[in-house]
Amino acid sequence: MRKQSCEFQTDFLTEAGTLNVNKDYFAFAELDDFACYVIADGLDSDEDNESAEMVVHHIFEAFMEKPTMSRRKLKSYLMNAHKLLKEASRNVRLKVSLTMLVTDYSKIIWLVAGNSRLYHFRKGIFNFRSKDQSIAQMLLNSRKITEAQINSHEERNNLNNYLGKLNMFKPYISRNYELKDGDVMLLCTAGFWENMFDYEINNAVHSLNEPMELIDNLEEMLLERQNEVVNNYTIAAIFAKKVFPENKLFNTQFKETLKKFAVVVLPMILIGLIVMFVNRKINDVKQRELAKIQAVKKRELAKLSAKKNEEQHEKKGDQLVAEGEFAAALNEYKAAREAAELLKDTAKMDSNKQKYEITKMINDADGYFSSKAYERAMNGYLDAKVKAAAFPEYDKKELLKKLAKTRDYIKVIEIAREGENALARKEYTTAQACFREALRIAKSVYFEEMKAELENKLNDTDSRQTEQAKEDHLFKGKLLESRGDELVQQKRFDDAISSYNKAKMVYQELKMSDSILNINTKIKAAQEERDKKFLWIFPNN
Amino acid sequence: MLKNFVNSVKSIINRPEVLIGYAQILGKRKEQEDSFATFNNDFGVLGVLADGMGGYSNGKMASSTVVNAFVSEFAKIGNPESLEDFFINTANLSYSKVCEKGKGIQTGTTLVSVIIHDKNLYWTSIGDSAILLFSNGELINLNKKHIFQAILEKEYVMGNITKEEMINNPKKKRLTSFLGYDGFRDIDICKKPIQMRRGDKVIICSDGVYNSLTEIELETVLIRNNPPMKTTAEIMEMIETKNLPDQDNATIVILEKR
Repeated sequence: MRKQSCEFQTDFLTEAGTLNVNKDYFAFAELDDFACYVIADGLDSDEDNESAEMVVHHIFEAFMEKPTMSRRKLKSYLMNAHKLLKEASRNVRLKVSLTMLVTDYSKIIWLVAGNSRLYHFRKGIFNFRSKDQSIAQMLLNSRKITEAQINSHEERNNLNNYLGKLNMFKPYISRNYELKDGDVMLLCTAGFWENMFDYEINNAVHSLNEPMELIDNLEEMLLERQNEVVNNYTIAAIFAKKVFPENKLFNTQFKETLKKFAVVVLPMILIGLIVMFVNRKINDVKQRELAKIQAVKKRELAKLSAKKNEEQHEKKGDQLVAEGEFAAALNEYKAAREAAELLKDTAKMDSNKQKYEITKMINDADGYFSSKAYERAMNGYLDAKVKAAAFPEYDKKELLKKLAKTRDYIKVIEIAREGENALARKEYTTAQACFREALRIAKSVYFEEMKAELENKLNDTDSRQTEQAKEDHLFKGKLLESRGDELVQQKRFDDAISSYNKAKMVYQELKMSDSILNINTKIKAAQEERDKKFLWIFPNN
Repeated sequence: MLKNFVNSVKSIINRPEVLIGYAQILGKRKEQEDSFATFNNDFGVLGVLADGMGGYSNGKMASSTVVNAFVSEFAKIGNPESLEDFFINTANLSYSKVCEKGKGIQTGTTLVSVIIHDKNLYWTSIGDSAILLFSNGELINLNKKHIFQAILEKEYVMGNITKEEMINNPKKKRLTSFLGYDGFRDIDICKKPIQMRRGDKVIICSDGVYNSLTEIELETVLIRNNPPMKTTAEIMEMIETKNLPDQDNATIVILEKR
């Protein structure tokens, strides 16, 4: 409720001048804590749109919803109004020059876009005025014209900024300005000030104490000139007879001390912070550098040890290979390869890999050999031989020996198998020859297992052969015996007896006493029959 | 090779100071009564446009007479002391020629003419054709239209008529000044030359253009910053797509300062 503790008086006047329409617009609101005054001058010739009124309404809508002294917010109100105006430009480009004054009854802040003006008077004397955004003001700023010339200068209405501008809209926003009791503020459009000298306005303000009186006086001065053309003009006077008393202690002494304190301490804190920050940054950088160096060292060391490792493993592997310890060598080569991988030494990686493979082949082949898979063993040895040609670490002679041994073993097995086949066909001599050959080779390569087996087989063959011979003989004897029987039937006793005798010889050879006795009986019987026959021929003998 | 290079350098050096674009359409009228011309000599560049009236071939006669008079006077311009005199003298000359040729027939024409000399733009206007300046993204109307509305507005301010009477007067678009049988009452001439910057465009057009297009529509085409010839073509295309039932003759000339 700041308004109750102060006294503000406001009055205004807006006229079309000699023109048929008035495109100026003024509005103000004095709320409990804030007051806002907006003066606007429509610059376009659009007959359908009251551009100034539209803009002012839009600003007031925003301000009434959220009254504020925040520069940022006030600027956003203005920017939104500008956007609205741009969007509302349908036929012609809508343009508005505008000045906005906001107060919390102890300070003021003002925003300018274009050449509507705020005049400020203190103790009845001109204090300052807002700067226009026009070419004339630019000329004044660069001291090409004087303050007295600007009001009537031909470029006064040539604006470089206004609401509705197509691009690069940039309003001016003042800092807070403290009010004092008795301050007078005058808002006016170009239609008014272009016909006046600033000193004339000053004189009027100096002599008059009521806003309405002042405005009437100013209008009179304007019309007295009897200009043929008078543009739309608007004047608003705000008399701050008593401003809101802020807490003086806080406002003056305390504020001053605070200011001094801040001036001294804040930079110190700032510098301290900067120093701390910089220090930390430097430390960070240093530590990062150190960490980097350590990481590099570590990597180097790891590399070195890996290299050493690799060399050791490879050497050990080679040694083991030379000793024929292939299974152990495998592990060494594997380790060497892993070390080479760490080193990213592709050449070493490759060589170790190949060595590993060769060693594995030999090792596997040895395994096959001992598990009697000689064919696979031989293939393994052959592959290993081809691969190992490029590596001097491998004893080629040893490998060849192994290969020869395996081949001989295979040969022994093959010949033995042939012998078996012959045996099955009862070709005992062939079988014997095979077994003997196999045995010879087995003996030469110390194939002990096969050697014993072959010897057994040979013996077996021999015995089976003699048996067979016996059987054959017996069969012959039996055949002769049965032939003798047949001849007896045919009464060819002599022939029968000779056949029986032959059979008897066979039985005697085979020492078959039963058969001999039997045949003897048969011979005797045959002889008796033969004799009977002769009796029949020669009955008297 | 070297010749080509020299030629290209020459062409860059001799690049025209002013680029010109123009376009014209008949609209829904039977006759084309607009005339225009541009002319380039050592002194500068002239653009002139006239919107004739009077029906049948009289309008065309009046407008082409004025345009021809301006071109032939500008061709022998030499070094004049003031362009204001040139404008007034040539306007008077063309007025008498129109009267002579018209032989008492009620005919007349508007006139807008611009001259770009060095960096300065000079202009003159009689009637309701328009001179616009497009500078830094802003479209600025340079001339006042000599129509009855202006008088009505004065009457209203004086209190002689009411606002309604002013707004509803059917004759408010009537010309109050033109080059023709009645003598011209008013001529607008620029008080001071306008300094043109690189890329600024001056546009002269008949009412067939600005009555059919809004300022914003013109602006949207101009802001694309195409060469003048393309810009004028685009503007005419825009008018034609609108296909207004009472489309007047429309003519536009654009001079762009390089």
